Amino acid sequence: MLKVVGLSKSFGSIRVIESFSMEVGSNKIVGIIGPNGAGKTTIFNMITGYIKPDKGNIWIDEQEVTNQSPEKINRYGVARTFQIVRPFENMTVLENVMVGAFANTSKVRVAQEIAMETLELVGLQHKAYEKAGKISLPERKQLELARAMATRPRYLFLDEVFSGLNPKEINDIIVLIKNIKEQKKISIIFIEHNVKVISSISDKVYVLHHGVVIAEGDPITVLKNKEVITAYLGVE
Amino acid sequence: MNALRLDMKKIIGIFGLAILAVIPLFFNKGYFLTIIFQAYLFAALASSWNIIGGLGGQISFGHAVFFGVGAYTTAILFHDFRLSPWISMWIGAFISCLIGIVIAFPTFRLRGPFFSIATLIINELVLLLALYFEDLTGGSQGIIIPYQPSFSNLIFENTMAYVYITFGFLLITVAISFFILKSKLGYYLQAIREDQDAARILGISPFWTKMSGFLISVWLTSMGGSIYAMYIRFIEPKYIFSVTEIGVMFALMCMIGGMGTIAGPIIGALIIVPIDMLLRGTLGGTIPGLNIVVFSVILILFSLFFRQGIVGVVNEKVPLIDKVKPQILRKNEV
Amino acid sequence: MTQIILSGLLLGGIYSIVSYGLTLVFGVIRIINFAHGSLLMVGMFFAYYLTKTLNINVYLTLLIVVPCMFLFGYVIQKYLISHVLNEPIMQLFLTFGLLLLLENVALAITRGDYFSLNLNMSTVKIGDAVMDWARMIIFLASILIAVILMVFLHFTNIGIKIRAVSQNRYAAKLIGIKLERIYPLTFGLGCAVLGIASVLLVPVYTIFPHVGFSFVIVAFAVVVLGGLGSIPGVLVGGMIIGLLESLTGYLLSPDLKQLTWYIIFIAVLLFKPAGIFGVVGSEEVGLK
Repeated sequence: MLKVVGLSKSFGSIRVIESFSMEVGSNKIVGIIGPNGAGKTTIFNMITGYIKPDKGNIWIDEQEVTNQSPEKINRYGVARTFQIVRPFENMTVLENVMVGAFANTSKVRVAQEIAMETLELVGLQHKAYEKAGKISLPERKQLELARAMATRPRYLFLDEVFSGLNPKEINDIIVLIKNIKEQKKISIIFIEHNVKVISSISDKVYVLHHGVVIAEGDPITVLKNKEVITAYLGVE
Repeated sequence: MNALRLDMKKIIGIFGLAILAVIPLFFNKGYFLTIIFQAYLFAALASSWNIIGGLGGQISFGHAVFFGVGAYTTAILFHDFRLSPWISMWIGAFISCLIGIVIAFPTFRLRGPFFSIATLIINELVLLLALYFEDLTGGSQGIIIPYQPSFSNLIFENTMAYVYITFGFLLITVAISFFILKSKLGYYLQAIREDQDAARILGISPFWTKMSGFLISVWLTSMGGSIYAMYIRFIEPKYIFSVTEIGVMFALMCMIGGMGTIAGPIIGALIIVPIDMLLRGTLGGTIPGLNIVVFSVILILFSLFFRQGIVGVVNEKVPLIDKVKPQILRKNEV
Repeated sequence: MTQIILSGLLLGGIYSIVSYGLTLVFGVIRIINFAHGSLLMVGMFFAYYLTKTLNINVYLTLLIVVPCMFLFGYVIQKYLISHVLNEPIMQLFLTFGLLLLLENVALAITRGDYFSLNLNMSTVKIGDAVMDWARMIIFLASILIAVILMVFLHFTNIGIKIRAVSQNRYAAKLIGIKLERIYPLTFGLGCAVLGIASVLLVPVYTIFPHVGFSFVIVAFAVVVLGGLGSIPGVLVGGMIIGLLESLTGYLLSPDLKQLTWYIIFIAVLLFKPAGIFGVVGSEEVGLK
């Protein structure tokens, strides 16, 4: 269980997140949605250790990890992808994923096996020897997913993984995420705009608006909520 | 094809090293041996720098500090106590590492050019201190090491001996570089070079990774300085701690040869050192600074057009020198 | 003691005037120009050369040196630096390469000679301290330049555009500001200020190729202390460093004067990396 209680953050005089709380059980998919500027990536940054929260606590499987560094948080079973993909461009696809795999081994052979396995999981094994800087955007997203998965996380945080993809590509990733949930039995927390995507895979949804949770619950109920609809006026 | 387990690259590499091993025998004249000695020494020093600079992406302009500390430790301990350089080089390396740790603490949090400036400034600081504490270092007068040839003194009449000792040192740095490149540390250093923040959430500690690469690099650089001291037998601060004449050369050679590669620093040194000595020998006497003018133009051109260095350019143009898939992955294809 | 303080302030004037360009270029273009000191050296040699061959007062050379330096900077940014704007490691090598190139071309031409103008400029007494006019001029100029730059950046069209780019280059692009114009202009402006500094420095300093190296180091210290991208920071930072150096020379030893620069630089980075007036985009370039 990953538990977040009362997370708050201000940048200067701007209160970006106000008392955010969330619970993620094992093998669940949780979505965080909200209009741009609602503070979603800031939440991710706090949970994954890149920003210190002003207030609030974070627990991963009963262990408090508030204010720890990202490298320590990874040890507790958390992995993430970024809104703008960040591949190690001068390394090959395989080497990129191996970097992730080394989180659990020191042997090159073992890391190679884990990496290849993970690439097969996301369907990128045919590009193993390409330089990561040279592959397409959807492939980079797959790569970042594989790299994060190679660290064998229990909680995977995906930041707008669907942005910039066409409907077919979006579908492929949806299938992939469902696959990962099935096969690896991990929990996935993701930030998204696309309401259709959210409703198709989430077990639970939190709706954020101006840094505050305005609704939470199962997707279908939440998306009928009046406040949510108003917040999203203009989006489908 | 199953029988061909070795990489093409490894074969070429071993072949190249073998050639370097025998070259001195064919160029057995004093002047040539001097060039070969410098070339091999700088190849080893550039390879050492490459571990943290090329592989790790932390461009240190202050590595002359460690070269100088190694040189001075060996020189002082020999001059005052006749301690064998074979022993004092380890002492020097140890002291260099302590200094390296002290330097690491304020500088590792800095990224990119700020790290480089900081290392440059610390280098200048060390130079200032070396000039100031005359009683220890001899100040600007420097230290002269008496000519007492013997193996244990690491002083030889014939330059050939220095060449082969330095070649041995080069083999060691190449072996260590190779080992690191293929290891977890190597992958981690590259990840940090590529994107430190993305690396962190993969469980990589930037501080410890950089520290590991840095200390190995420092250790080797210092030992190179110790060897150099016993070769040249006169060291003074303005040269041995010089950023523009020594420290930046390590980076320049890696840049030209190919940063982060095994062969790159060696190729860079083998090109730069002969050109340097040639320019000094001919026009250098009459036109000071010409050698560095040439190098700076090369540096500028490479930074604009050949960022991958010579090794990178060759890798692009000649696809056969590409990795043969490792055995572990071939089994999946069957 | 008044003499020490006075010398310190005058020195501060020198250090400030030499550093404005560096902070401006960093604040806007976000690059560290290692060749900054070497460009100063080039300006100094140029001013010296003009003074000797045209037989005019050194201060008159401002009319030629400043526009030439502006152009030189404009060209360097437009045709060299523009290629490596997104590659910090290559920027490092490019500007360091320029440092080496300028320094050693100067060395090759001058064969290592030292040059100085032996002007016997009048001195002024304040209390029981004496100072020479050449340094006083630099001191006053450094304050004047700070004011002019601030006015320029806040009240002229171009200045506002430059500030916009320094605050958020993406937003600036979106509202139609052309970075390909602003960058060379800014770099040129930085070099123009260096041009002023170089002319004013000629009566005071001996000129030789490596002189630029020391200046770029103290400029780094000034800019980091004052806060990258901050013009007032340079003025204040320069004064502080000048005073501290003067005191160090008096209290410890003249040989250790440069130690001030190094210690301040390291101390700022350790304890307050933002400097006195905060930093422009520190995370972007990785000061943290």
